[in-house]
Amino acid sequence: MNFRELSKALGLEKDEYVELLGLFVETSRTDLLNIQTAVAASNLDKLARIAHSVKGAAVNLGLKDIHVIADEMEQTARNGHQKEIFHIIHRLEETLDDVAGFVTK
Amino acid sequence: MMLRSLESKGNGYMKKILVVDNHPVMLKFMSNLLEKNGHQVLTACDGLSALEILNTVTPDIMFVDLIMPNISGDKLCRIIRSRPELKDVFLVILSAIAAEEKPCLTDYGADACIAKGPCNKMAAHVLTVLKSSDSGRPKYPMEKIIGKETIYGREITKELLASKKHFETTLNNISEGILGLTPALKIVYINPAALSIIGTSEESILSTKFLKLFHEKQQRIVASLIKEVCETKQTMDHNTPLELNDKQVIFNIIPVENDNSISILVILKDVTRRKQMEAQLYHAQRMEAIGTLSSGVAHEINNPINGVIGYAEILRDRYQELDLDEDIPDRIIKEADRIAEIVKNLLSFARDRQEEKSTSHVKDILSNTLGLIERRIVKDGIKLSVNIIDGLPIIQVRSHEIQQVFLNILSNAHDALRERISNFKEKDHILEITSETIDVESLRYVRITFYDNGSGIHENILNKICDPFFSTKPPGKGTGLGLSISHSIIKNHGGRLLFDSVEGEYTKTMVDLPVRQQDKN
Repeated sequence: MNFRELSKALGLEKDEYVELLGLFVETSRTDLLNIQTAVAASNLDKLARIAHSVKGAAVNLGLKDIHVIADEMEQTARNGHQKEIFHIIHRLEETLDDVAGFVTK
Repeated sequence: MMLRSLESKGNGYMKKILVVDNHPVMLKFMSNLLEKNGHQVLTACDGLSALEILNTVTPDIMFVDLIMPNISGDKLCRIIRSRPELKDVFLVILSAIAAEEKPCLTDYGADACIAKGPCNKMAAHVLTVLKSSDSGRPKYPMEKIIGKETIYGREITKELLASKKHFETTLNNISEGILGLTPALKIVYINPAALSIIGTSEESILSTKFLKLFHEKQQRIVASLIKEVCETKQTMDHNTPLELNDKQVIFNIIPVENDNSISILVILKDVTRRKQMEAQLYHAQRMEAIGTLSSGVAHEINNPINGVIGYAEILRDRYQELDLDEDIPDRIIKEADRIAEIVKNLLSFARDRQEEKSTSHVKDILSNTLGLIERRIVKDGIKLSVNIIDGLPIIQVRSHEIQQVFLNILSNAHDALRERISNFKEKDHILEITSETIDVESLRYVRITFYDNGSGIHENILNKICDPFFSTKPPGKGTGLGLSISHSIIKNHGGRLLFDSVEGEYTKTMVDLPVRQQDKN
């Protein structure tokens, strides 16, 4: 991911983009917690809603990787494939960490 | 709300903008963008908090997401349009679902719609719309959805919409009323059944306090019930009806645990009709109990009264033999006769009739009755009109009993009219008797309606007038048994005695008598 290019493509100042990314990481970490609770409670409907919201923000910020993962998560939840969710959650966590790493740099 | 200090309209280009979206990234992005362009920005994370801001601030423009917790965007838009002070707010829907399903902007009262997408595209669209809002609200909303081509994930969003629709259809058609409340007990969801129970519109009730629906006394009850539900986190079924919009309502309170708070779901059931029927049943049982009791008492009184009358007659004879002029024995007899009369009435109220019924015409029974009372009614200046249609079905009754009922109703109407005549001499005083055939639950009845525009009956006593010994007449004038006897006579005939009255206006007494079976068709 080249964030400098991304911010340019989105027409945002680098500082502003970093600020938005920071907010995104923060919100998504809370979302991740809620996603885990939702899986534990087998509430796939709630899970899909959260994934949908993460996906929307990822699109806003041009975060293609997260967009794809969140999309996959939403579909998997809607199709009721609970077992596969854990794997996707893990991937989302990792990708979020990448973004977070950039923000703190 | 630090923006208040900036409310001067000095800068023509500076707009006051409220952004409503549940994702912090969207709120931040929009705030940055709009502030950079020299506007004031307020943000709200859902419909409810937006409404709270709108209580004190009137923005020039609002950007509203559609899918949000606590009052969704479409409802928020409708509420805004129902408030006169917000009629000039330029409403823009900013949503991802805009691309899936063309939102009906006219329905929402929105002026434009932007589809969500990458920041740069959205920024351009938002600024375009801002510019177009300079000339005020358009007469017709912009039909085109701006930025639709940049939209993603079509299929998935469609599914989201489909599942939302499914639940909405269910909730819209269920007969129970359903309300969603925030932890602060503000109403954020209400289905059509609940709207019709409460008798209000969605626009005016959303974001108001649930407790405000009830009378002050009942507010405390409801509040403590909800408190208990929140503490125990257990669903509560409250089956003692509370009054809501003049209806008897029972309800279930269901706690919905969120991440760190408890919101409430309330299910309302309108039990007004059921309670009315229970009350009728209770009344009927009470009447029967009084009947049984009074027939027992009547028999017990009858014997000693006959004794009293007998001894008084002996006394009278003895005085006569002694050639003394003494009227006390006659007075005793007169008073004892009065007791005997009451007892006789009581017995006829309670007695099970064994006498055979015979076929009769309502017209005949009525004209016999009128023969007894008509002259007195007309003499008082009352316009009596009798309109009994020919060819009414034949009824199977004990006609002297029905005559007694008619006589009773007519003399009540006569009394009510006389009371009115003494107050309003110049008005028309009308006593009208009409007839018709009606069908109730596949049974056919002949209905005779007695209408008078006399003093009427107060609604508080309307359900008591058939109780034994209930009378509004001055002491000595009525026994309070007339209507209770009439009621039991009609009931024994399988009929109904109904009243409709407005105090000071009119009284309508309806006698329904079942048509003889073979004459039904």
